[in-house]
Amino acid sequence: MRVVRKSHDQMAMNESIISSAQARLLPGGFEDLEPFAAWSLSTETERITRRQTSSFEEIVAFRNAILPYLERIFSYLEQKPLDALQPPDRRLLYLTLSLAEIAPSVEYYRQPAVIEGFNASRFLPVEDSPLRPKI
Amino acid sequence: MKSAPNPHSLGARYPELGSADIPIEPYISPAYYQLEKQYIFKKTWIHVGRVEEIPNGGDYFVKQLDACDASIIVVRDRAGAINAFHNVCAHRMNKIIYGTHGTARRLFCKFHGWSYDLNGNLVGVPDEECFANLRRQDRGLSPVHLQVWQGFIFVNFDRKPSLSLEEFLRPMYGDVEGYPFEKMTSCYAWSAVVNCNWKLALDAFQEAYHVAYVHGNSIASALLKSESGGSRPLDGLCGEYHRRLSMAGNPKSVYGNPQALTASVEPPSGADVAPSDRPIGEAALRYGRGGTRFSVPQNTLPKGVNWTKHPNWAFDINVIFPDFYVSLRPNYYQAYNFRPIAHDKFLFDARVYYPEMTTAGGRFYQEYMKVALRDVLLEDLSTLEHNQEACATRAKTHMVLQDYEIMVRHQFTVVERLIGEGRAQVA
Repeated sequence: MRVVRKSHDQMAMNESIISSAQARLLPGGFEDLEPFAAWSLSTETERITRRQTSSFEEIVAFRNAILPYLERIFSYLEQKPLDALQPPDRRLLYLTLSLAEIAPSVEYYRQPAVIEGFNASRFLPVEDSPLRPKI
Repeated sequence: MKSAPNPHSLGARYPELGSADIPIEPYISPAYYQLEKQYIFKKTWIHVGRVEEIPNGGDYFVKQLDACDASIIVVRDRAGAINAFHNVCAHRMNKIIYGTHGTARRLFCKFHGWSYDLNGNLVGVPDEECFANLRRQDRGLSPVHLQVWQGFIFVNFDRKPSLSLEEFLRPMYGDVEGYPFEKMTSCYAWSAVVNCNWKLALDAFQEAYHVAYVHGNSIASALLKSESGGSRPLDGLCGEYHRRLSMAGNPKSVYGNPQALTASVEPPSGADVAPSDRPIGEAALRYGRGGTRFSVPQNTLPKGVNWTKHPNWAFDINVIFPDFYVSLRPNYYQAYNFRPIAHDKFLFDARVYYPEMTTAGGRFYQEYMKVALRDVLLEDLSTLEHNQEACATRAKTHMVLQDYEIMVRHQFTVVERLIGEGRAQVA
C-alpha cells in the first residue's frame, strides 16, 4: 500500500474541520465532554450495549468525566422545555442517560454487567412500544 | 433450634391452604400444562394492555397468547369502544396483522385482500361474485370477550365467562380502585422468552425471602430489614383467586423511598451508603426533584394501597390470577405478565409505568430508576432457568415453604382447585 503524504497545510485544515465538526456535537461550554460523545446514544438498547461492551475502566472514566458537569448540564438544559430540545442539547441529555445506564455498574456491581445476572441481550427493551417517551 | 411462634403468621390466618410440602410435578409436567390451558387460561380473564396504548379510533395492538392458543387484535373503533377479535381471516385463516401495533382504517388481510371494519364486519372481498352465496354477515372476524378495569384491558376466551371482570377482581382489588393508573403515561417495556415454568417464575416474584441473596449486590438495602436481617412483608392477603403482599422500604435509600421526587422530601442525609459511594443515585434524586408532571401525595392513595398504613411502606405486590403481577408504589407501578408458552417456557412481558417527566433532571432520575429496576429484573430472572432444570431432574419431589412464602402455596392451591373443578364439571 502506498503511503500518501499530505502537505502540512492540508493536514492542519483536516484537523480543523474535524474539531469544528466535533465541537458541534454538544452545545457550547461542554467541549470538555466531547471526547465522551460516543456515549451520547438515543436508545436504551444502544446504551446498554455500549455498557456491556465497555471495560470497567472505560465506564469509570466516563463517570469521572461527566459527574462534575451535572450541575451545569441540568441548569443549562432546564431553561428549555424537554420536548423542544435541539440536537446538540439532546445529545447532552443522552450523555446523562448513559450515566444513568452505567450507574449500577459503578454503584452496585463494580463491573460492567449485573453480577451473575440473566443475559441482558435476551431481555431487551421494546423500543417501539406505544407509550415509551420520545426522549 | 426451634424459634418462637410468629405472632403475625400468615399460615395461621389461612389454615385452608394447609402446611404440606408442595409437589414439583405441576411445574415440570407437559400434561399438567395442558390442563392449565384448558381449565384456567381459556376460562379466565387475561390482561393484555392499557387503554392509553390505543387512544384513537383505528389504533390497535396484537397479542400472542399461546396459553389460549390465540393471537388477538385489540382495536378501538370510531365511537371510542375497544373490541378484541381473533387475528384470523374468515376466508382461509391467514393472520390479518403480522406486526405488534399500529393504526388502520380497515383490517386488511394480505393473502387475498379481504378487509374488515374496526368492528370486525367483513366489508371488502375481491372478486366477490366468484363466491357462491357468500353472506358477508356470516364471515366477520371472531370476537373475543373484552372488559376493562381501571384502564387495564382483559380478554376472556370462555364461551360465556362465569364471572364479569369486576366480579372477578373486586373482592380483592375493589379498594385499589382510584389509584392514578391513568396518570402514569410513560411506559418502558422489555421482554424475554425464559425456559422456565410460568408458576415457578411467578413464585420468584411473590416472596421477599430471596431479596438478601438474589439482590444482595443491588437493592437489598432499599428494603426495610427485620431484626433477623431479612426482608419480611408487612402483610399478605390470600383470596379466592388473587393474592397481595405489602412491603416496607428503607426511606434512606433512593430506590426504597416511596416519596422520592415529591417536593416536600429532602434528599437523603445519613443514607444507607456514604454520599461518595453512590453519587449518581444521589444526583438522580437531586436533579429529579420537581421534574414530574404528576406526583401523588401518599395520603390521597386509595385505602387498599398500603393497607397496613405503615409509615415506611414501599410497595404492594398484587398478583392478579393467573399470570398478571402489578406492583404499586406512590410514584410509579410495574406490570408484568408471565405468559405461558409451554410447560417449561414463558414470555416475560414486563412494563413499568411512570408519570411523564417535564424536565431534563426528571428524565435523568427516571432513567436511573428504570435502569436500576431492569438490572434488578436481570437478577430476578437469573435463577429461573437453573431452577427449572433442577426441578426437572426429579432429584427432589417436593418443595418446603416458610410462612412468608405462603403466596407460592396459594398459587399452587388455586391452580389445583380450578383444574379439579373443571375436570369435575366435564366428568
